[in-house]
Amino acid sequence: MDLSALGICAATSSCIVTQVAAGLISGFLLFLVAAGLTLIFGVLGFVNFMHGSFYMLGAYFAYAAYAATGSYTAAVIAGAAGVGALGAALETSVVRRIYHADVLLQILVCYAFILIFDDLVGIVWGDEFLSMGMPSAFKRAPILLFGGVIPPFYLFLVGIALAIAIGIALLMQKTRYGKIVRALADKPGMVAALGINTQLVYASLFALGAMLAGSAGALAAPVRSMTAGMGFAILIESFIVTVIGGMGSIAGALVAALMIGLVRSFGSIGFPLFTEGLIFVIMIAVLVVRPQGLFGRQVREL
Amino acid sequence: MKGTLKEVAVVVTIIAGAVIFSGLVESGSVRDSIIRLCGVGLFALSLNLLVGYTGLLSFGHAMFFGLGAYTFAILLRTTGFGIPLAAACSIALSGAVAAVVGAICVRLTHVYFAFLTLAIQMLFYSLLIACSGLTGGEQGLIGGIPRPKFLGVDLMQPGEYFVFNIAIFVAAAWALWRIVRSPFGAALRMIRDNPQRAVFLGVDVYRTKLAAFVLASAFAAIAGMLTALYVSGAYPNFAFWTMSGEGLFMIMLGGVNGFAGPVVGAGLLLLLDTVVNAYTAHRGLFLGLAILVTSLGLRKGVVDFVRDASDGRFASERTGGRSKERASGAQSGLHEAAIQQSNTEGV
Amino acid sequence: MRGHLQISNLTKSFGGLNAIRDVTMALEPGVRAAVIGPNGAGKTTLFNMITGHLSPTAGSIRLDEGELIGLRPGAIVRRGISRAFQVASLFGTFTVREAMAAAVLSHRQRLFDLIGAFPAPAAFEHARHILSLIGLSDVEKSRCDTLSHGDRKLLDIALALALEPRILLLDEPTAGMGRDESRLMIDRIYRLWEAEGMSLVFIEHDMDIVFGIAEQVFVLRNGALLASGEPAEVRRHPQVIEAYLGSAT
Repeated sequence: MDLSALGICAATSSCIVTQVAAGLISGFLLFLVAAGLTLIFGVLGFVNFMHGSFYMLGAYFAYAAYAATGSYTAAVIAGAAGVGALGAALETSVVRRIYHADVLLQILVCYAFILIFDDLVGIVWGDEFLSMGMPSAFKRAPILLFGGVIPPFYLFLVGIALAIAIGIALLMQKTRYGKIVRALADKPGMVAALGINTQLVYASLFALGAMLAGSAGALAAPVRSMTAGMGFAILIESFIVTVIGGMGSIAGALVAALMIGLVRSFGSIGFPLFTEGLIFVIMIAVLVVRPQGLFGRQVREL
Repeated sequence: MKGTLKEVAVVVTIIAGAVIFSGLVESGSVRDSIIRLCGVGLFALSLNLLVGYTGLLSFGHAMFFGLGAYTFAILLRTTGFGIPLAAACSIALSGAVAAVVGAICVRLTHVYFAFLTLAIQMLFYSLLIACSGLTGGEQGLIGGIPRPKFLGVDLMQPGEYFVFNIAIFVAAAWALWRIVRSPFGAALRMIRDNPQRAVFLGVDVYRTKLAAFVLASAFAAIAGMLTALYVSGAYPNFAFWTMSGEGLFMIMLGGVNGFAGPVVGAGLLLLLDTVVNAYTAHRGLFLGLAILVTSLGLRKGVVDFVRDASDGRFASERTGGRSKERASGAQSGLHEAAIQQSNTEGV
Repeated sequence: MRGHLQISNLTKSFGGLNAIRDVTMALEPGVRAAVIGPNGAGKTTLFNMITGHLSPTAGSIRLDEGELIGLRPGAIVRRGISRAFQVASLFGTFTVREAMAAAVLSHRQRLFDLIGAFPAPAAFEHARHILSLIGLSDVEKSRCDTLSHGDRKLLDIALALALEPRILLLDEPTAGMGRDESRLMIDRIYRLWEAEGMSLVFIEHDMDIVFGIAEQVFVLRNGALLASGEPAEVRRHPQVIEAYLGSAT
């Protein structure tokens, strides 16, 4: 533990700016993954243990598209759309059959898909760490702010993630689709009785959730190295985010994800070995004091 | 008392059988498979105390498998402890850690419990990697574990080592068998079936679940120790999430009805592993497909499936008798309801 | 066996809405009391507060001078209040006698026994005694999830009885039953009361049953106590007639 390092950092604006920037981008990426997870849980009541695989596949799809076209825009679209399509296919073929099944069965099916996707990624892209490299458009001098260094790509990432977050919020609050989805979360029978194709809504929502994770993977590709199995760490983190923020709450996911991003970023200076532990301490504290999460609605029994 | 004597007789017979077996069979590979099954099978059995009997879906059980293995291995390597003392310390430590982890986790139900156990397991895993001075980090504890003689038992002798594994496994399985058939076991099943009603019958659901969690973890630690002795080391993947997932799959394979199901499931998984490893390096792909086929195709354990299928075939041949016990719940329910109806009308 | 239950100024609000409003009622030991009222009057909410499932917004519930509010459901059970549910709440994979034996062991605080066999003969014996009392002996080997509706309700009551309660709360014991079945049920409940002598508090809709068996009737409407007293009194109460029995008489 090195609290003096943290103190020194806190005393210099350059260090604060750099760390906040790093914390915000990992927070926003985490938010995108967690938002998908919490959306799927909130409406479908399904805890998607394979959500981390969507993130991983998003990164690899983006890598492949970037290698083929050289366009980062194409890479992000490939990552998001590819994983979205995969999500839709999975929902219609497998996942919809297990919404009401035993949790043991749900977990096993997700476990199976994690194994399969990890192995397939290894087969297609190899077992070594891959790195996509920074797109040329962002290869510019970093922006200096109060003496801190902010790579231009970070600004782009935060901007895009914010745009997606606002887009999701608008979709859920302002559109007919959002109304249907919210109604489905509360009273599924009622919505079905109105003659709405609920299966289609479920499938699209699952695909949307998957797409969010895929887009996070694709967006992160230039700044993260890729390997089969990379999805699992982000799965755990996004679960922690949803637990802290409240299962089903998008706003909660945003707050919790940014909080974790910042804790991680500053924690890595102050107590590098205990950063992981600190995040767990926060989560456990939330679970004990407010089990439904900071923004959660439903109270669990027992 | 009579039941106990009978159980003791079974236990003694199995161990005696192991002694004879080890004298007759020279094949090291057959012995090795059985020894491996002892560790993995006990792990699955201990997990089923939570999953099958208490309805607590732990996705982090491998943490205690790993904790037992590492503690045991480290104690044997770095202290002069004998095997019994090292084992006792490992079990005690695993139980104590389980009490802390359980105190946080068992408040939650269903998928929340599954996730939290998973998350804490991954924290433990990253600690194992981080504390490389003690644990060997990513490499694990390599370089062998000593097997000092104790109480006249020499585990360097293959025959004695084999019998030792069988004896520990059978003793632990017997203890678990007694537990699930004790009043405590009944309390676990009450909580599984209907926790709310259990509360209103005065069952202390929290404490009971916590006790089950600690017990299951202690048995998982024993399983970890057997495995550590077998591979003569301890590795991070002992405590990796995939190990917990495999434990769940073993339970699924073996079927949740029946005490020995998880052991059968463990055996089937080891067999599948052997076959897959012989033909391909892509274990994940094939294991994943196998899980999908069994869980989505059969919707129940292989053992359940085989049993139900054979019951269905024989049900028409037998009239009444034992087959009635396993007749589908709905049917016998209707039947009994009809009988009840006529009874009450008669009064 | 004492068991004086005193509920004073009990109030429960859910988000500003009063489900129970300033209810005060006293139950003497050994009484047979009915709680009646239209749907949504707060009857089950009242039970949930007595058993510790819900905590009231204000007021007190005392059993022989001991305050129950703030105690957890398990602690209240040990004070001698047990309940049966509107929808019978059982243990699906247990046989009838196993479920009973488990309840008996729970009452004797023997569930932390890891070594003994379940169910031990002693627990069985007591379980069977209650089963014969309530008339379930002939299905004692059936699994709970195969029972008929009536037997499920009876077993639910039997489970509550295994705790040797001083006060037994029955939430609509005859719900979902035909007329004959209901009568049989009430008959058995009455015989139980004769044998065990505990206080009996039940929620009921069928007025014939209420006025046939209850010694004391409490009428709830919109969460407030509208009237209480002996059946004959309550039957004559003008507001009760207007509010609840109006259409029936």
